[in-house]
Amino acid sequence: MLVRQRKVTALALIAMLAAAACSTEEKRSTGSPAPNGAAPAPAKRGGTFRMAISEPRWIDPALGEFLISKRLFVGLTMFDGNPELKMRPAVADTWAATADCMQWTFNLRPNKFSNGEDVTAESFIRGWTRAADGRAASLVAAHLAGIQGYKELHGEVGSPTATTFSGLSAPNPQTLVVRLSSPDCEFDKKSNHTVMSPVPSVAGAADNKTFNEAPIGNGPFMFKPGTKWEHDKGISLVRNESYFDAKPNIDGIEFTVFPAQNASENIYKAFQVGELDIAAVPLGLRSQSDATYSPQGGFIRHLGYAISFMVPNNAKGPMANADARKAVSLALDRDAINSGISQGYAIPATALIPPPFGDFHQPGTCEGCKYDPVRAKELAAKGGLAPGTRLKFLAPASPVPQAMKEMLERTLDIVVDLQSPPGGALLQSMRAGDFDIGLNGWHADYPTPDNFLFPLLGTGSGENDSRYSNPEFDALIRRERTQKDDNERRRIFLEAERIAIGRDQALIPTFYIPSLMVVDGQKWTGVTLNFFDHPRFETMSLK
Amino acid sequence: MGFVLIGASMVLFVCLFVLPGDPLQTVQGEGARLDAAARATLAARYHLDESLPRQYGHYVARLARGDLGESYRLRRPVNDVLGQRIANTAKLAVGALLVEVVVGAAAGAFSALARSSFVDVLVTVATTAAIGVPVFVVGLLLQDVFAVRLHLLPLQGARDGLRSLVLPAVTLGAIHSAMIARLTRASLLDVLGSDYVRTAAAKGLPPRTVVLNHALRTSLTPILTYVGAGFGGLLGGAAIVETIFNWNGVGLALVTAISTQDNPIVIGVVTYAVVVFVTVNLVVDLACALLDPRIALR
Repeated sequence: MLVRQRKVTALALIAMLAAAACSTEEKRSTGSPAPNGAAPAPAKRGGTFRMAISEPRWIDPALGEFLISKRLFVGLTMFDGNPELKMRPAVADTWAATADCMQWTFNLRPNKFSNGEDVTAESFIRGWTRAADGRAASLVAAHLAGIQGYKELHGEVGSPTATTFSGLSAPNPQTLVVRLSSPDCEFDKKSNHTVMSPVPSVAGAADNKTFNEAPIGNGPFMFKPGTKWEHDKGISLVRNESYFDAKPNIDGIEFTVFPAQNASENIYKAFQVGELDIAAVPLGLRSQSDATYSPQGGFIRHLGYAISFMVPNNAKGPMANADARKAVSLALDRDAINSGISQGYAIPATALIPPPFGDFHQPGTCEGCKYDPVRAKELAAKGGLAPGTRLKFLAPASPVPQAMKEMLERTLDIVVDLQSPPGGALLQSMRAGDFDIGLNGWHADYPTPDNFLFPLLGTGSGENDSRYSNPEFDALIRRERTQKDDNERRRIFLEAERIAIGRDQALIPTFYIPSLMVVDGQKWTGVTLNFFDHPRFETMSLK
Repeated sequence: MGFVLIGASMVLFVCLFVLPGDPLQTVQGEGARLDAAARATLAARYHLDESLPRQYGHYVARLARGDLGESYRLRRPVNDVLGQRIANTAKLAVGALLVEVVVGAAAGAFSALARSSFVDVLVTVATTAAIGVPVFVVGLLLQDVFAVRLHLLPLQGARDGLRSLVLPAVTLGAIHSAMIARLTRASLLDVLGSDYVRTAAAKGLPPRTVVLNHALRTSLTPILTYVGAGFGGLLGGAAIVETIFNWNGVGLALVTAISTQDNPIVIGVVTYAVVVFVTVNLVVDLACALLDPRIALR
């Protein structure tokens, strides 16, 4: 059973969809390139970047928060957004897997926690062990599930039978050896997850509330000396002068807590009056914001590693038939939804793996993703989706699913029963299989298509709400995990997507989800968003 | 108070128990899911694997020690989560009470003393408008004028001390101050026509003494009763005002807790609210008795 903190919720995807940008430009820096190829001026140091957050549930990396803990902790590898999806050295400067990808060895470079303690292989073992411990009830522990000994440490019903992680060892302080319970030739990509952070000896167990109030890490930032997390108020970070890599240009980050309710509008207003340096653009203000802030280089469009999609129930009911699923997909006029509701600020999807995946994105894989009402009717008839058929559609209350409902009813002459249970009840209904079609979304945890294909479509995955189960597809996923050759692995990924999406239409891709943000472009330069859709605090600077 | 508290908590416990859904899963949010091991750990920690009466027993036992349990969502003690928020909401409530009593009573008194004058008409029209305008409209309007356009007061948050309190307190107190103005006007007009006020005036007392010492004192009784009864509504309105002004109070905590089925927080807020509501009404009853000896307890 998997637990994914990075999953985009149905509600959130609707909000993001509405806030999405139509441009395929991945990101736009607020800075200007040096004219005529001249060497850029050295980045100015100083300044405190002010950003709003909602009150985190925790910031200990073992428990599943990203924005703060990614500033405080750096793991073995990091990802810079390259289209080949290659990991870059972080704490580990070299790493290698055995021929069968069952064992990985990471060689660490010397670096320290901000309290002066050395970061060693034991620091990683400590961090991963406390996160995997069942008593921690971590929401992200499952990212460690591929390591030998996880089941014993985590337990099945809260009663672990081990206290150490048998798959981890440190032959010397600078070498970490990881033994897996099944082959994974992309384990290095997973090591970028916050749950795989090293922690100092003072961290204690994952439910150590003292450590959670001001975690000590090895990242580019640290808690401002003498401060800790001020609940419901904010968090102050400063540059970690002992950081082993290029130090940030900015002196620090001031995170101010905003209540979740009405947050978008309040945060945007606070940005407008100069209380914040960055803000997400609220739904109704996209065009206005674009027009106001783009000329001063303050409007950011960022196409993330994410997608929204319709989830047909492959296991039972009318959607168990592939032709019926294609009929539903062909009946959706994505362009009309984009122009009519999203005001052009969305990108109709034509494949499951989104464009930022570079060489792994196959535009047009989803043949049913183009609007074709005639073909939709033909396939509906062929697939047993007769006029008058009732479909239970689970989605958040929003104009987008309402438009989808009307399109399906009009084109296919069926009855769509749109239901919008509040909060987590929607997800619980989806997980229980009590639906015909649903609306959901996904954001990558790691930069690999495996992180889309297996969780969403693999047999036995806890996130596979569509209940798609295809031995041919599963065999491809197993094969790619044992494949060390990047080109061959890529070929398998593409084939697996063509089978599940192109042929079987197991999921119905709808839109890619760009983030829209505004930043004080007269004050800051180099503000772009990273893989996690967070500002690149590490490289931004004052103008 | 004890009976009220026990009654309220029992009703709430039953209501929360019959709600559909798994609280432990719901509090994780839509995008995350507990696995079996984590769920079992948390269920045991929060006694959710036990029957409702036993859960209620744990709650009462903890309450006797002043412990309201731990938030399912934040995994922090409810008292810690609500501590600062209660202080924030108390500041907001006191500020709003001051606004509504001072502004409302003054406007009502002037209106009554200058009956049928321009001031009276102005107060009547203004109070009618204020009662009809939703609190969020008042808040957004004040924000737009005083923070965004004039830059006189902070837009949101509580970082600027008393200056931060002005707009939220005025917003929250506006509607109630209009009600109090109407109530004061009606009450004062009624008292001004009574025999004992006419007698005081006939004895040659200065008009100011007649109004302040004799008429206004008696007419305050219904106003105080209204303030006490309206305190619950004030707390309800606080949730909206806290949302608009990014004011981290219990109202916001309650809204979040209800939507995420974070039951310990819901019960904690209600427990505090019952204590405060009962206490405020007790104080109001005592104050009324002090102002008007005729209603003093024998």
